[in-house]
Amino acid sequence: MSGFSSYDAILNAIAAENLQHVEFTKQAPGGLANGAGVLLCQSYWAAGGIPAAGANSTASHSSDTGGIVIADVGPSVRHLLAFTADGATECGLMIFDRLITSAAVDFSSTGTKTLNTSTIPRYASACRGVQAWLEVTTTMATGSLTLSMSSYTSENGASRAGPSLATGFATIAASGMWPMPLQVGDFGVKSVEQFNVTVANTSGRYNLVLLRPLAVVPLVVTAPRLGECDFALQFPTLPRIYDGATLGFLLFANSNTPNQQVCGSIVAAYA
Amino acid sequence: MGFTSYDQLIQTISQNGNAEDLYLFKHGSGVSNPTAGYWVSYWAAVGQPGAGSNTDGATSSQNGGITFPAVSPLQRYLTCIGAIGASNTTGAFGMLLLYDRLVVKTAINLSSTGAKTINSATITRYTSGIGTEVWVEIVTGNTNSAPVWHLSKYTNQDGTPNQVGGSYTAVVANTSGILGPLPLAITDVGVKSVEEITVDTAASGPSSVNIVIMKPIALFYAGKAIWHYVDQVLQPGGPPPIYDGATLALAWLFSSNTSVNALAFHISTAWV
Repeated sequence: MSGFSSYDAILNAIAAENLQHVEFTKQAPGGLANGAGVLLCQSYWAAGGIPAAGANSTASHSSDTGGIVIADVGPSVRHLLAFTADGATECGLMIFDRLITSAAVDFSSTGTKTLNTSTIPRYASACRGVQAWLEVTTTMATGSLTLSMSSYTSENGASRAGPSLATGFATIAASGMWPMPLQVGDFGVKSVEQFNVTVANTSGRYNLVLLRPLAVVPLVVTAPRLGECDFALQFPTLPRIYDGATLGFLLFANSNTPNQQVCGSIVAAYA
Repeated sequence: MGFTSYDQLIQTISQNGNAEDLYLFKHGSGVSNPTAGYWVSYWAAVGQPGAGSNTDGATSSQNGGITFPAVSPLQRYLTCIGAIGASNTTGAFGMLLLYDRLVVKTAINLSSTGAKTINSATITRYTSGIGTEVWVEIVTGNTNSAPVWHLSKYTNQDGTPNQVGGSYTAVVANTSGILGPLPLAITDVGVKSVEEITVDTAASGPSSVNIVIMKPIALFYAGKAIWHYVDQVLQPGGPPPIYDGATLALAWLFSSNTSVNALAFHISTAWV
């Protein structure tokens, strides 16, 4: 039977070298102002480093360049065991599986914007927890942008409409990123069909990204500074990493306007 | 019922797939600015889950809550939580309360003195009543510096009616403030239903509140843009059960007056 039946089984997998240990370093992606009451984060997708910068092009991601890509292990089941990271400003670094990118989205005029993304390539049968984010690729000038995900397919396969969100951001450079709210009762997104813009922002361009968060590691600035999370014993969640995963990072912004290189490692094991 | 070993938890997650690991968020939209030292309800904030609305009665997987598919005859447990406060120009420190919203009674006017009839529904989870609490969720702002309320008729954990609690002095609270818990009679340790609240001091008190009977599940820290996980299996002494029909919600206790914060949070459960 695939998967782990005990902690001893995890140790046995490690001893048998059924283990994947990947180190990463991502360069600072650029400055970012703060949002006011909106969860504004910073994407490392287009930042250089290891892994290299990802492309801002429409894709259904499967082991794609730009994310951490690790060899398939099917039919075994693979779990994230540890996530460590270092950065100069305290906050949190999320690792996620990037599923869909819909590129060059233009909100410079009001009205309906049709995207019709493909269905997510992983988690499609159990997509509670899959989220829709907007990722700035061309600087968004100060001003309003009010929009909603007016047509999307929820985790249950239902056609749904999210509420309006007024971003109210200051200038947001490329790499800014925020999640779109869902219709009440929903916990996941399979695909996005349309946005509706009620207040346009003429300057910005965006990727719509469907992603599945896997884990967050705290970045701490007190020596020895390395943030570490063990997902077997310390925090018993054992996030699963599917074959084809394209693992990306985002940083939770704070008042210190983080614009920092991050480096660290992930450790996964399979059985 | 329940996990008999840590190995069984690992097997449940990895081999059985009887686990769920959700990362969720709330934008500040729909929530008013907090008052230092008092709780803010994130029930009405937009995000994932979406903004909740209120209907009189006992809740069961109510929209707006963090809800889960039923797993009966198995039992779901909370295994890990985490959070970060983010995207505010000043940031704020504070504590988060994860609770199960059991019963709501809406549109109660506390702007004048005297007894106010509540006659809430009776809780349908935690039916022993032990550990359940009564809170007041502000719908229209309270501008009184010190209104005083008390539970003048409630049914305690043993089903004894007409219990009388001690006085509670509230504070100025904006819309979405959630105040409490209201004191109980000495020897009481929970509430099954609320029949009446008496307003002892009222000038400029809130003209509309929700009376919420809740069961606190966990307390955890939401720092100024620094992530914290809290293990619920080994660290606080055992994973709390999450019952079918649970309608989980968050309240945030801010340490300073500030504009409202967005919030990202995590909740992991497993069932056996």
